[in-house]
Amino acid sequence: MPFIGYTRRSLLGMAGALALFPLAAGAQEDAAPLRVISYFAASTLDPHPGGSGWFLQSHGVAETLFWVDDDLTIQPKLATGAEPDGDAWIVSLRPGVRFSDGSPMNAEAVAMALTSLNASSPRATGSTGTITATAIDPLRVRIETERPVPVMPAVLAEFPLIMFKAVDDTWIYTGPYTVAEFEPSSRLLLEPNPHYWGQVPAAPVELRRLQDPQSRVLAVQAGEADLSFNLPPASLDRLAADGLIPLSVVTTKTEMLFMNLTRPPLDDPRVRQAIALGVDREMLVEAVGGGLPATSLFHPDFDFAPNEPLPHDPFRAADLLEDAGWAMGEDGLRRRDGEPFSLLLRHTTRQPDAITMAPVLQAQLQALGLQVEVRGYESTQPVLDAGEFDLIYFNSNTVPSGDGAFILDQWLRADGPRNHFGYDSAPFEDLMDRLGETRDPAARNALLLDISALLEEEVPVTPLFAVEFHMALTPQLAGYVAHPSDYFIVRPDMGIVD
Amino acid sequence: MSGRGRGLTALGLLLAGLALASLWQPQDPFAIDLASRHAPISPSHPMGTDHLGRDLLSRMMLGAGNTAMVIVIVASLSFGLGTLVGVTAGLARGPIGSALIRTAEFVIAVPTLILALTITTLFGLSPVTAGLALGLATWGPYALLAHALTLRTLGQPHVLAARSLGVGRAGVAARHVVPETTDTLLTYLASDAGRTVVSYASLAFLGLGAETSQPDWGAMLFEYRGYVFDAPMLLIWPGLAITLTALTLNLALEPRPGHPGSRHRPKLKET
Repeated sequence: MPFIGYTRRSLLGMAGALALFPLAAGAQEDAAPLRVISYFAASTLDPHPGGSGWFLQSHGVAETLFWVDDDLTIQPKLATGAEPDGDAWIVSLRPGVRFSDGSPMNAEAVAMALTSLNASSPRATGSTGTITATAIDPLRVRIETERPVPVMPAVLAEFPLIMFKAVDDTWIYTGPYTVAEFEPSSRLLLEPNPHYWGQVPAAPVELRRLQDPQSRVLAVQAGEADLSFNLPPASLDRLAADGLIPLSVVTTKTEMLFMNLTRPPLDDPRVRQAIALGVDREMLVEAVGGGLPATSLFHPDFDFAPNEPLPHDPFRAADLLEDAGWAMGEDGLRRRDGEPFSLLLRHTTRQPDAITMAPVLQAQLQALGLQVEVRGYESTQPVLDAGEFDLIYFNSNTVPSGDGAFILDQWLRADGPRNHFGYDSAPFEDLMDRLGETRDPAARNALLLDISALLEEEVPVTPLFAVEFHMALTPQLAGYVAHPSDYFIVRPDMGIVD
Repeated sequence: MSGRGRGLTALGLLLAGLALASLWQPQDPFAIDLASRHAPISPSHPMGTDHLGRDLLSRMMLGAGNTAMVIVIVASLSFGLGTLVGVTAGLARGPIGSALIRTAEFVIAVPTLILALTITTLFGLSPVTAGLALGLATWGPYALLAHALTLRTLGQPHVLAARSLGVGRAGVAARHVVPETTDTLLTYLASDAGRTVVSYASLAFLGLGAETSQPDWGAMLFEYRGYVFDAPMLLIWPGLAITLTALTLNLALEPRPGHPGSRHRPKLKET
């Protein structure tokens, strides 16, 4: 006898569906991990070492109080805002944020994390000096800094300042993923963090590191990855033909040609200007297969970056070299007092782009009559430390926290920890001092534009191009949005197609 | 012409060919033409062009000269130093001879590439530094061979007779030891040249301290390795050049049957 409105078969079907429901729910929990291949993987889960914040943030494990969003704007993340309080700042925290063990991320935890990171990492003190953070109430932290900080959200967006909590002998974070399995510098299995304050990820992620670009191409081509990050541009057509989705994004990394101002011939600003004018950035971009010719040290989309690409004018460059006493000889080489114009150009061999660029830059400089010896090194740091270069190029994220002051403080201030170039300019120091005292965003943008103009004149460095990252995705990740950096590769909405 | 004579002639011709190739190229090996990137084989580019539109044949020819220079430097250094140490050890004997041979054995024990890499990392990689580094890393076997040959020669009756007539060590070395050991050492030297080609290519591929714009065959393999699937000819040409040069040297200079260094022993007639 049938129940009212239902047949026996339909009831059995419903019962069966109910019986299967836990299995379906379990299937959701046991979803196959999304497989991500990157060129780096965290070497430690400790937040204190130099690059740890970058790695853990990029893996979706850790977060900062503020961040630079996909449109290159500083936005609150674990905080909701920051207000000046005299020379100090009061940061309001986002309610409901929990660490991955379920404990709340309150003001005390934030103060402890900031103090600990600031004490241990030179990089975390770069913009601020010593930080004194104290909890005012559960959701407000007062931050005092040794050096005045005009834009605290930019400081708190710097990747070393990830929020963490030490539990026994390990560290836990607030990000959308937690680390379930960890092989240092090699592999991480990331499980969704059930206590995440935002959208909890739909599936776990297995992140593997493959250092060789061709191996990353082969892995995604062989179906061993759903996302392969930082691929050679030449491989994209082949991968697209295999049904994969190529994706490219111009990043906030800038390839830069730094100059050694401590010795001839680059102690003469006319010579440095000539080199900057002699570089054909369009050609470099075409040679490496992606990027945007630089307008300044900063990604062109920032409000404080000039709009026009830096000029390429070999004729003006030749005039400047003549003015500086470097006359062109019949053999196509410039000489002064019988001495040939000779330069040591150094670069890293870790990045394929750097190797491609070397002969192009060499040819462009030789066209000006300069003799250039190019040499590649696995690491350029010893070369920088020893000062054994005239020109050296590498790329770096010049706006890691949404504010242009960071790179300038680090690389170009006379006492900057990374000023290996002997740049010590009174006008630059004056502009930087004023930038350090200016909080108004429009006034800061104007100052940063002035600084870019000054750097174009004094040329301790000439920016080359904004670096483009290439990746390939399986259709499963069709909705993946690439951040214009390598700071947010594993994202909470991965695998969810709109 | 004897087997060794033919071998050395082949070695000379090969080195001359490689050196000549470095003196003239059909196009500027460094000229960048991005509009002609990855151009196929054509009369103007018989091996095509690379990712920067540079003529591959011209780059291969320039790289050939570097390889030839390395072969000459390594051969001179390892042969000269090895012979000097081996003959001196054989003549001196005693603690001096023993110390010299232990030194040679130590050099053999240190992996060639590691020693050469250390030297080129410190002083930069060029054909000259690579040649010096590989030469310094490979003189050990020559010293041991020269030492053994010297001892054998010193035991020959005519050498014993010369010594009993009052000929000094220097005289014995100049009139008997060096002339009678050179043939075997040269054969070993010639057959070792193929390994030098591969070793230099390995050093250039690893590229520590290398001038990356120089078109060495090994450096080209390093520079073009990212195109192994998208433009494989960029790797096939230098790979083929390294293989064929090493193979040619080995085949042309392989000891002929009957030679002291040969594995092929002439059959004795049964009586």
